Amino acid sequence: MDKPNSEPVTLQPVNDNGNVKVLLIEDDRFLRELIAQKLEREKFQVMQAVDGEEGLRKLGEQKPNIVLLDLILPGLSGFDVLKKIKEDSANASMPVVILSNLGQREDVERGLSLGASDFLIKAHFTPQEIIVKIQGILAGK
Amino acid sequence: MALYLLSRSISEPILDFRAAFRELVKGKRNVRVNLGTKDEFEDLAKHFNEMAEYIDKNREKEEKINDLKSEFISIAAHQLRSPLSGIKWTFKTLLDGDLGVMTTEQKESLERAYSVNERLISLVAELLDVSRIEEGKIGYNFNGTSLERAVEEAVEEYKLIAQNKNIELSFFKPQIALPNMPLDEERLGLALNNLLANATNYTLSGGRVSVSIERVNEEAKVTIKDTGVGIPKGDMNKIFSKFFRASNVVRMQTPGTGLGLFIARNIIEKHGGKIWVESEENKGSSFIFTLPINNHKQGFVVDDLSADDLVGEE
Repeated sequence: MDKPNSEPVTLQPVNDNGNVKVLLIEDDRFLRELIAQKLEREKFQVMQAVDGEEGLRKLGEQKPNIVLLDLILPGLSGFDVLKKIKEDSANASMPVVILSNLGQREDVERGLSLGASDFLIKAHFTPQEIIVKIQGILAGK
Repeated sequence: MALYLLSRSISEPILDFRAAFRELVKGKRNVRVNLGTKDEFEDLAKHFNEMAEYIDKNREKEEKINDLKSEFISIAAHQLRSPLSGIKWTFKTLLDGDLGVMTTEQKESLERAYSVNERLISLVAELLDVSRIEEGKIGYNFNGTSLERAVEEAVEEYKLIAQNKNIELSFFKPQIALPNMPLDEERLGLALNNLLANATNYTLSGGRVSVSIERVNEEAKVTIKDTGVGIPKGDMNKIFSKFFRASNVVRMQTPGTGLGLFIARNIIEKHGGKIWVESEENKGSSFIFTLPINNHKQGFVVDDLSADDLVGEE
């Protein structure tokens, strides 16, 4: 029998958000809470981290299904965090979506080449649109 | 013999000066003339060198100011995006009814605030594009692409907008399909988007916008023709300048930054093409651009345009 090589979560129906753990790494409290609220309203399990170090620690402990990652962070930058996630074979397949207000072509190319699943400019997406992106990525679209 | 030596002692320094002036005009740094002839020419060389040093210093200063300006715009724009995102997300949360049901009036007023905020967000995006263009840092990635498909996709995006405004939007393909051309699809899409936004914004209900592609010798020619408000005669030569908006559209109180055509022109020119406009006020405008079918540029090209090239054309 063929063994699916993707995470089991990709087989979840889209509306079954309750089993999906989202790790949110964002230093801006206002933005972090707005997104967290929306995710919780949509029944996701949300974990929050204010910087890269905390993010990496929570990632190791709680194994989220997907990471939403800001780039400009105190201490380790989002790019550093992304590199560390992808270098560790335990999480290399974990989808990471960059959610940043950078967004020039080099930033986007750098993020994608480091293995990000998508690059979203915060100001260009609504919370609902961000959730649709997350669901799309988790469904393997 | 004496005459020959005399004439050489005059012509040689002159040739040296000529070469030095050429280099200086080309923008080369540290151009100096060293003669050691102990005559009037050496004196002249001293003055030339002082002048060259002065020019060098000013050029450096200008570059520094330009870098600072671009850096400032870039930092300011990124800093602006965070609070703008916060406002956008809060408005959206309210509009989605997540924090309770609102009355129709409350909702309408919030929707207006939301759309004003969206304008600020797109202004920031355009400012960033312009600062990148001015820094000369904007890189292009030319890949074999179907121009037809790129234009058709851009037109598709405006179908609904046109329909809502009761504007007839049509697209005419070339009779014979064009070969793939080296295009930066993303940037060309931005240029097309800006042109279509103008055409649909400034055409009144019941009007028409048509987009067509044809081949003219070794060039593809794209025409975006509308039956809109047109451009006043006095504004025609400024229409592609940065931050310029025609007087009639400013009077219409429509939103706009005056950056769209500036950006579009830069993108078309970077593809080796030309863009121009034919227009009559109250009758309509045609924006026409050409792109070479066999662009010599391939792959990734860093823009070598300096800030001066742009300022000079204003």
